[in-house]
Amino acid sequence: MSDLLQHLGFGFAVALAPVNLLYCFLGVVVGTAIGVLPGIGPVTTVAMLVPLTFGMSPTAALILLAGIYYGSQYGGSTTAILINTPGETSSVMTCLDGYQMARQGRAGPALGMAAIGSFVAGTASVVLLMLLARPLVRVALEFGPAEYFAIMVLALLTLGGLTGESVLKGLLTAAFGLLLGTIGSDPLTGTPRFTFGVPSLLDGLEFLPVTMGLFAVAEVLATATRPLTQDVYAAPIRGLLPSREDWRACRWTLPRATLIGFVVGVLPGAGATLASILAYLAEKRASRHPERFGTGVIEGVAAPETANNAASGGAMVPLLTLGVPGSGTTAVMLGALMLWGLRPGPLLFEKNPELVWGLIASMYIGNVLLLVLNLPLIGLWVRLLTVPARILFPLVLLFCVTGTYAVSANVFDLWVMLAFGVLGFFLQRHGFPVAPIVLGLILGPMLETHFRRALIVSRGDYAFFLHRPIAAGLLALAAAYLVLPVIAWAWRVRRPAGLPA
Amino acid sequence: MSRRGERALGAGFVLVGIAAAALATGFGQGTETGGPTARFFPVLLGLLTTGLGAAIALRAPSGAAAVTPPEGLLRALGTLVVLFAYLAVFERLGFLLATAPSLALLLVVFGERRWPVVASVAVVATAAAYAVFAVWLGVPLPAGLAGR
Repeated sequence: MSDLLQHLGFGFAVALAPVNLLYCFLGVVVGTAIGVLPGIGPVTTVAMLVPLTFGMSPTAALILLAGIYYGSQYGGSTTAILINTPGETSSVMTCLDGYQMARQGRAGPALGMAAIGSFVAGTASVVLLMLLARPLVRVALEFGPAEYFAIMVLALLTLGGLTGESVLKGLLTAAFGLLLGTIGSDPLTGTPRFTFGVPSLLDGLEFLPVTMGLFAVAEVLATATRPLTQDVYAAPIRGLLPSREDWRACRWTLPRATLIGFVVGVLPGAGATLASILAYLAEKRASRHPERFGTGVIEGVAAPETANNAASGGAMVPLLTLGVPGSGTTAVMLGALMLWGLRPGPLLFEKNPELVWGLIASMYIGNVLLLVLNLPLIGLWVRLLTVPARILFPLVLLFCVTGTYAVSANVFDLWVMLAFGVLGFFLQRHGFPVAPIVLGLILGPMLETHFRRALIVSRGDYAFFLHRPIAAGLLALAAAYLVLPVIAWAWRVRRPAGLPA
Repeated sequence: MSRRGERALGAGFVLVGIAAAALATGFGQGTETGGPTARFFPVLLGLLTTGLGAAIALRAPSGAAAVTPPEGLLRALGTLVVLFAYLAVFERLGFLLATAPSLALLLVVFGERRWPVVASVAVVATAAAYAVFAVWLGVPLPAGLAGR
């Protein structure tokens, strides 16, 4: 323990150096500012700003990129709550209740709880990162393709319960999302699939244009069909701090979502999106009023926002100790580390302690800066509510087009965004959830790769998944999720009326 | 939502699923490793989409039809037309020349009738987006005619 505190003290000495403190501050401010823009999430923000860091020392550069990472992670919640547009996929779940809260005039508490949840999760996950890195890595090392496949199946199957209206519709859109994920070169053999000779499709559909289309463009089109006199932002915004009832409702949400987010974040490839979805589902399951999820409950905001920030901390564990990215953003950071001539892994702790411990200490400081800066700054974002819909929504479209183009510099992605905007408009109009499409698209290639790798390892033996205890347990959970509601329904139908339950 | 709309979407997914499964049968050959080929997942997911789409198309109605005012439909259609035209000229005209007029048209479609507001919002927002993305973030936005 004293060894740990000694390392942490050394880290604070590095992080509190004026230049590193400045980069930490710049990182969280720029990250939050860009994260607020629709379509610019942590991956894009970090990737675009990597070239700017080459003149810096690796420690300062990594502190800046990490600040941008969790700053933009937080910033995404603002657009999710205020304009129903996830700044990144890990904020998709925040839209469900956050936007409903904004429509009910409770944008302030939603934004406040997102900031507080992010702070709690960010700080707790750094503590966990520091204390539990090595034991957790040992657990994650036990995960092979079978386990990854199983956890992704569990995540996708549970999507049926996301929006509450229809399990069938949720499963259909999840299957469609997975199907979209097969577009492009086959991950194992390189065989082109559904590319129709279009070079832009060889790398598959980018998630950003699909997400922007399904959420932002579809929302603008839906708004256009409604009488604009029914301004969705008409309700007055009062009080940024959550009420006593809000605190009571979230007293278990924050620790639960922090734990889920951190554990999922540690798993290589899982990331903040899966963490936010699982935390939301866990919260819905634990709630006494699950039917109210999706209508604007504060736990529906606190859970995903806490979990995605906890996952950001968790994702640093495999990056720093194994050299394996835990998310898309840490994959970009891995590339940056290698460009600086560093090789992430266990030796990094021995060869570059100033970098590792300086980064860990800067994450404590960055989370405090985020809270101190963002609670007062929330008022700036809430001012968006005063912009009339006839001005705001054309501006949302402008940011969608510019943001989507900014990522790939390919006009093809803009057409993809428009096409998915129209599809999302019709799907949402008829009660089909669109979040499972996005998750299916993102998880699809990983799920397929792990599934096929597992079968290659087992020489085509499908029972392999059942011989691995963790994978079998996760698949049993997934099966139970599907089967138990059917059994419960059959029990209700078969039970003669008047008998006690 | 409407029963007819749900049915149409369910049928649409059936068609997409069948087409995907049929196309996917041509992907990849057998493997000596024992693992599934490149066609396995697309065929499986195509069939799954077909089955779930059919279940949606055939099941009982789940809600009443939504009523959309005609001006709302016109506004949505107008938005789509402007977006389509915007994307069609985005690279040819360049970001600045394509965005400002398109944004002005979108503002009009959404009901802003004060021309000074339309003009100033279109110009200022376009310039701000250019400043953030092209100047600040260094994203190469298309120059189009302005770059010649």
